Amino acid sequence: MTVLIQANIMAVNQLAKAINTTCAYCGVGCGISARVVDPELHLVEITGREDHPANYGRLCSKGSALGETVSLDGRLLYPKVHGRQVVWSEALDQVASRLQETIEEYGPDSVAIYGSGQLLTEDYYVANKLMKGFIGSANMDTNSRLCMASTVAGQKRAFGSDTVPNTYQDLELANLLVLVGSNTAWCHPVLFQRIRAMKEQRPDMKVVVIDPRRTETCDLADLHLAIKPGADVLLFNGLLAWLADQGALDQDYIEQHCQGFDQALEVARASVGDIQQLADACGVEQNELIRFYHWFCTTDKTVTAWSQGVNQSAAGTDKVNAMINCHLATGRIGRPGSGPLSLTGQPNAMGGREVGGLANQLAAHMEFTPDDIARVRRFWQAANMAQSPGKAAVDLFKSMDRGEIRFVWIMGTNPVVSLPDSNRVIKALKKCPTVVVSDCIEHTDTAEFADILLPAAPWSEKDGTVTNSERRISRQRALFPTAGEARPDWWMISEVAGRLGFAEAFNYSGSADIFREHAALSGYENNREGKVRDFTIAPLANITDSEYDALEPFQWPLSAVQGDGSGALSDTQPVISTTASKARFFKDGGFFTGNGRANFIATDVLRPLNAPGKSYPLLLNTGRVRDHWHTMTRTGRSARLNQHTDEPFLAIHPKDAESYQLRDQALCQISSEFGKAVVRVQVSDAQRPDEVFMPMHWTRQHSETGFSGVLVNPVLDPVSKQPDLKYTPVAVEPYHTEQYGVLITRERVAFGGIDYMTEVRIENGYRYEMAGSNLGQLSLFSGLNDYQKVEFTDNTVGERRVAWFSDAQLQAIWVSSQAISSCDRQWLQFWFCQTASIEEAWWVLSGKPPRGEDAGRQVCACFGVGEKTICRAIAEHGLSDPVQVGSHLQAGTNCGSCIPEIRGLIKRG
Amino acid sequence: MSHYQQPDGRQKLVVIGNGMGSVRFLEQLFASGQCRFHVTVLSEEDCPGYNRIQLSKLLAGSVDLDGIQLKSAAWYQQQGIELLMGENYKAIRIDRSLKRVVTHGGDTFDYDRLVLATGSLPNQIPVPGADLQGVLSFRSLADVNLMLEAGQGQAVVIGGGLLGLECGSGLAKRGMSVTIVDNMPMPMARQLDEHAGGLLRKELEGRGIAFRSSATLQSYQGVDGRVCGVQIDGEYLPASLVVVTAGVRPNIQLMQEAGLTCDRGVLVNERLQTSDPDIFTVGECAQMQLTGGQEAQSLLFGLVAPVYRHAEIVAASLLGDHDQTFTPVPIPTNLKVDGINLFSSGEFIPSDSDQVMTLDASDAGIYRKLVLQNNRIKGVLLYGDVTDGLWYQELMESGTDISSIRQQLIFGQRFLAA
Repeated sequence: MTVLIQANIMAVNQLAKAINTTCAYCGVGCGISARVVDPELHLVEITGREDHPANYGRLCSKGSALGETVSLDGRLLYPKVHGRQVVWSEALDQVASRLQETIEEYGPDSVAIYGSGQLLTEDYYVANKLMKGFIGSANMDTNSRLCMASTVAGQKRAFGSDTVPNTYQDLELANLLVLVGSNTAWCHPVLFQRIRAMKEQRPDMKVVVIDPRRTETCDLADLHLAIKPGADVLLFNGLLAWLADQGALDQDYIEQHCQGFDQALEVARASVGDIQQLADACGVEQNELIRFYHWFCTTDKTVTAWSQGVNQSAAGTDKVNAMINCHLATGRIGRPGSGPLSLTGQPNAMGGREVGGLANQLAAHMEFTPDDIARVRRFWQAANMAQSPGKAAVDLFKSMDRGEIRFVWIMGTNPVVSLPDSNRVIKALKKCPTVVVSDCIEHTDTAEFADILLPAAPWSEKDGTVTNSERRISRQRALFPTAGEARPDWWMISEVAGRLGFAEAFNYSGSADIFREHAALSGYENNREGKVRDFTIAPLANITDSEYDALEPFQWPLSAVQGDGSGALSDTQPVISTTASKARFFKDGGFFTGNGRANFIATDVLRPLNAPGKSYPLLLNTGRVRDHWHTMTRTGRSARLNQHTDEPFLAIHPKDAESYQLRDQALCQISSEFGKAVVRVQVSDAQRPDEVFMPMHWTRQHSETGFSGVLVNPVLDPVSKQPDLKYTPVAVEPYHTEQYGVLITRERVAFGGIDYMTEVRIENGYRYEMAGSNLGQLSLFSGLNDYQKVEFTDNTVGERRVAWFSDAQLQAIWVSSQAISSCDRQWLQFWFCQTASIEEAWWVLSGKPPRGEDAGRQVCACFGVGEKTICRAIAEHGLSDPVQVGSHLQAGTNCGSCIPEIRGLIKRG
Repeated sequence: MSHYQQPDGRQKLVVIGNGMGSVRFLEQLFASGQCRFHVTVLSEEDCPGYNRIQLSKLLAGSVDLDGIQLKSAAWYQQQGIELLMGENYKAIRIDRSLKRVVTHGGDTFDYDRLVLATGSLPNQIPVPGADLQGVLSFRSLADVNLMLEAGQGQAVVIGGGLLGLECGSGLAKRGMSVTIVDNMPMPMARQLDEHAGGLLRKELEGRGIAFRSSATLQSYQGVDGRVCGVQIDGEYLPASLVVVTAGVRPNIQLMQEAGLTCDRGVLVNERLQTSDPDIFTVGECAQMQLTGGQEAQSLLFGLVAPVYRHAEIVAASLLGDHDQTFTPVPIPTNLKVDGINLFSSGEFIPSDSDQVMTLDASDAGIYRKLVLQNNRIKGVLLYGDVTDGLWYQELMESGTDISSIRQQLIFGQRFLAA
């Protein structure tokens, strides 16, 4: 507890001083400079850190808006057991005793931890250690399984280790950049900005985007190959064959550093047929395919970067290997401007991988081999080492549904939303006797099923390290003292470990302690006598607390170098200054396989397990939108970030929209074998025909029906166990409803039983988009009775709009109609934020901004001339008597009643 | 004294009356500088023509006499108009055979052309006590002066139309305690629907005016020849001043006696010519028989716009342009009651088959109603904010199909998509 108090004091002392930390969102891992303006109100200014090598000062829309997401609104601030607020000791006792009882009765494999790429490395390390070393089960998996397990598996198959061979800089140094299954523009915006800047500087640099959708990333593309979903393996098999046919192979590299090439080439050739067949099978024009192959063939400096379009696939691992094969075959790996580069989704997916956060990893890039198990046991002095891999995410919840997992601790993630076939996940959680959820948000779809809720420190209050996609470790630092009873995850886990009798092994006084242990393990027997591993930060095993506090971003692996040649370090010299990072791997081989050679992997093209057919003729792809992150627990709170995309939608090609009678902006129902969703239609020719797209972000907290997880099939990659979130057969139909409603209010409103409802955070309030019957009967209106009211009704067409005012502000707006209202939401929301009395803004219910100038209060009734019009004419033409005004505007030339007023306006000037 | 032909040989034009129609006529006549008449204006009032519509403002004290003066005495002089005012110059007879006008003071005026702008007379209510002192109408400057002399006390205004409300409001502003007695269920019953009428009543009640609606006046009560109250159904209302606003009728006694063809007003053609081709009329005393086009129409005039049109036509005719004729245009009610704007036009009380849209911002003193049939505006009622009244009027007159602008229509022209 002392440490926490220290951290709090530190945070307060740093008031108004810039705190260097790392962004909470994607795997780019941008450096942030945060200036706390008001610690009480949680006001913080966020800017990009100029000297951070990931972003050099840049930030994207989400990162820039981080300050809008750190309020205490909606936070989980106290431990709760079955909804009852308790003190920490009681909550922890409950967790420990239930864990103990479950293990005693059902064995260690009946319990599980499901973590998150949002956890800091230190949290992750402690969770992994408890599970795999002391509980004795490897049922420790993470949402990173949904993110980059296929890349981990593919890299391990090829390199013998989960090694990212290249760096961000290579994206800029490349002459050909191939982006595969990556909407970089939206999902890794700062890297996209870097690429764009370079492309502007070097227009010759070519960018190829391979994606079934025409995403924003294509804005930069010289060539967009809108391939059929899942055709990636075929495309890169074809490329391998093409490279061989064109004599573009690096024979030396293949012979000296690789193995398995012939078989890989043979399988590749067998899968592709002739070039026309290949182009047809990929769904692209032959000449475009050849152009891509030609460019790849002839461009030495080529980087292939990929993301979830590759990973989230039943063939994800093969896709990764098919791409790596082409880089190995050309020797283009680990060179400046040349190599394969995975772009991870989460801020600390990489850190999780480093500590062994996946069920099939042990720790510090060690595996479930007898040697590694023994090594880790020695290092940890572990009581109960897990002996074999545990259950990966989807399987973990399936076995929970079967009653095999009876205790789960979910940390910082929302599997009810993010896992495929989420209805089954709900079923499983309902069955599971103990569900512990540690989160910083009180109400999430997953927290609803928790027996015990533990308040975790959020991004802005926790302290540790994260690793980005280019192996760069950066500090994340607390901006505020922890709020309420919130605690870091590592603390909770250590407390529980202590109660289980492992206090000695979990006696950490702060994240620096854990980091030192993690660094020590990375170097432990990491040599020829033990086992040489790619991941090491061993020189940091002894850094002091203050060095840890001041730690600057660095890339692993990190090795010690001789400081002044004498080999002796002075006491004052920081450890980091005597170390060297390695920016790239494998230029000269040196793979982490048994014989040091990289493996070519033969990647056969497999038929999809669940293909579109008669009942479900369309293919559903899921993914991100620009300004939301995961399940919106953070971005959902920012009004600004809700402007770009405020409702869940289904993007559909115009032809399909016509065949299925879907109108743009109308509602549609999507159904799959697993569930149903209702969302808004977005007709878009960026989609391929027969394929639809739906964002992954919306949850039951913001929507009644707009989440994709219920639809997605639980098909897994057989190697990586990563679910295929981008290939689910679905059917679509128009969704008919009696009424549509839009409600804008200052307070959050809880609704139930409405066919369609989406909540949108707006400035100073919320907007609800609704559809259903009897919307006008909503009980919410009774609370507004005391306010001043404007009401528009046009009963013939079922239109009703009401605005409530009080205290010179709009308090609520309600619009209901038989068709989707065309009212301009942004404009209504603008007025919602203004100071405006009912007299000043009664016309807001028009729902459309006025054009031209406001005439003002009417002065001349005969000719309908307003005060503002008259004043403008007086000023503009220098009018000095009512007759002149009359000759300009006719005002006052009929009954003349308004002439005294006009005279008054002239006098007033 | 007799006025003979001028030595310069100009033709003589005599104008009877110096109200708003008359002044506008004179303005038009002299606007071009081509007037070849010697013009004499006879007015029974004591001052040059003023804006009668603004008498309520004068009563309320928001303008002074100068503020409602239409043209100064100097203007008449500059134009060479002989303006003769006062009781003595009240025309009492027209001798058409001699083409001569005789005044109350015994003066006679020969004319070549005569323009009658005698206006209208307020209606009386035939109940006992109508001749009591302190029972007034609200028509002239003299009436206003009498009201202003009445001091503080209690006033009853009979009639809840525009004039009654404005009178009541003016008296209230002058410190009187006012009750408006009306035989209709709500104020402005011909121009408003029940909701708007209710709003108006509530607003005026808020300003201290009491109402007795759907009430019948039974008698004026007096002491010593001076009014002291009114008796309405079952209630006695004390009052030191009673103002009767019960409508007006064309002031045509003079014309009837001169043998001009009259009905409710003096009958004129589209060029405002009476049955005597040398005699024209302008304004409320006229009744126009329209024969051209569809069915015959007989029009009386109570609003300023057609009266001004009369003035233009007659002036043009006298200047030699005989082609201008009066075409009636539907005129919406577009007025201001004590600062509250009102606009109504067409059939704003819907029938069962009509469609109705309303915008009710009563809390902001605003109410709008549009009555539609076949997606065309059939009736308009605007209360409080009337900015778009004339636009709705256009849409109604042109029979424009409003389907495509229906969502924004009631908010006004400014809110249509560009």
